[in-house]
Amino acid sequence: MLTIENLEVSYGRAQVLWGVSLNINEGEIIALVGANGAGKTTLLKTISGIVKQRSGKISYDGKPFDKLSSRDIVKMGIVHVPEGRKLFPEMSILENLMMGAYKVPKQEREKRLDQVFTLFPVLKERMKQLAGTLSGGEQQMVALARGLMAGPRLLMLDEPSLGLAPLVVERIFEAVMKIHQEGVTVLLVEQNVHEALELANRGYVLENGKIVLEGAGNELLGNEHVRCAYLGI
Amino acid sequence: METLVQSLVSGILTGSLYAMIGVGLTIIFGVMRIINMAHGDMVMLGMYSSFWALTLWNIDPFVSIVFWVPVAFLIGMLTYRFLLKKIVPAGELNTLLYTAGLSLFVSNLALLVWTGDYRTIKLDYAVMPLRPFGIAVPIPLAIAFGMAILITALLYWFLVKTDTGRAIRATSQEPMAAALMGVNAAQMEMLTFGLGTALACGAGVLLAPSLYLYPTVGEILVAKCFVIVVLGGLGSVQGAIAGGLLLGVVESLGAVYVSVPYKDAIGFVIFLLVLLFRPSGLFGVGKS
Repeated sequence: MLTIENLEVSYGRAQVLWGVSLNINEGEIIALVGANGAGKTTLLKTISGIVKQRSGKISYDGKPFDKLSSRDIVKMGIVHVPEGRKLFPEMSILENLMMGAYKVPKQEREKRLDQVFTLFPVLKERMKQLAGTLSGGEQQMVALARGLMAGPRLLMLDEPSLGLAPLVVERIFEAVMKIHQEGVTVLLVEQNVHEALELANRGYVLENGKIVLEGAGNELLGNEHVRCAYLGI
Repeated sequence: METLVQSLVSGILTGSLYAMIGVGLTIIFGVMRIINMAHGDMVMLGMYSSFWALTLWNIDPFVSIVFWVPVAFLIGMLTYRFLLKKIVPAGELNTLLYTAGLSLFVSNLALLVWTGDYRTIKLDYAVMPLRPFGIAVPIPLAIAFGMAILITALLYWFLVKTDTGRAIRATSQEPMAAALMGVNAAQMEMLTFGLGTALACGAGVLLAPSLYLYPTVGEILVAKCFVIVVLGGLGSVQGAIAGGLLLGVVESLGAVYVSVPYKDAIGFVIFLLVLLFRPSGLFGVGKS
């Protein structure tokens, strides 16, 4: 579905990604793990068109999309839920969701809204509340829901568990599973390495801008390097 | 008691126009973090547009506003596209200096072509004020008030109810996320600069019959404008409306109960007091 070959990205003179290649098949959950500053967020930003690559190729369904803007990329169904939620704090939940569907024709929005409210009933009850006044877990739900409103085929989640209590993290991951069961392909960036690899079909380990390991989720969980560097066992 | 009501009424009338100018400044700041020092000069251009339309073509200011506002909207968008777009990413300080330069250029150009003479607009129907309940209401100011409210309300409706308006607010609150939803930030910035300029210029057209016109009138207006938006919390539309009305009323009460020459100074004193006790404005939430 999405293939990345030899991607190199730099901010000015600082190179962040060094020849990253990865590939995502339709219907998979892929975990991308790595330490702070490894380049995970940069990789997502490059896929969603916010950051431009210096070289390398990204293709989606076999078609290259180097020249596309982030607007076209959203329209094609690649949706990026950013790290730290980045909700519109002075807008209501409903308005945030409507922003998610910015590129979606008006007549389809109601349908999407129903689907999202089925997944997160609590958001329906509180749709008039300002997003800035919600708790961290609720904000993450809105962020996920806002991403879903765009109608993703590939949903990229950047650190959805960041700063949340373990119980809330569990609920968020449950929601991710449900979304996946409805046929959405998921690229999950996580520092919560254990949970992410358990959830995922396959995983990639990114270190200093390079992919150092890849493999099935449980295979990586058993890997000596992963256990030592990320799981502390 | 009558003096109090009278000065409250004139304060609110003038304040509605301050609010209109302030909303223009605040949306520009909100979306692209430009502190637009040339905003007052846009009001000045509006005033002269109003004056020349009446003098040359005999078109009443309250009619000419119908075409001056769209013209200003276009000029604002072109200004953004050709003068500002490249410099916005360089940060607030650069755009501040840049628009300050733009302001000097525009006001001096106006001085060159229109001279420094004070001018006034005389309207036949403006000689006698209306006197509802014994309160004097100057007719041009009353019409300007009505139109300012209408225009500000229309803008508010646009920002709250339309997709594009929502995208403008989203860009001002969280630009990266807005871009991820597929919002074209450059387009929103251009649109916003056009709207802000149109509001400033429109307020100028409306104010022209009630104030003296001279090329540097923008200086005092932009200073007041900063008072208004900071009072209301930078970037907040409701705040700018409240701040504008408040400044109008404070100035008007000051003129009556203290002294006319101190009218402008009193506005700034209130400004300093608010900053001292509520640094993020009366309605500001403050960024953590």
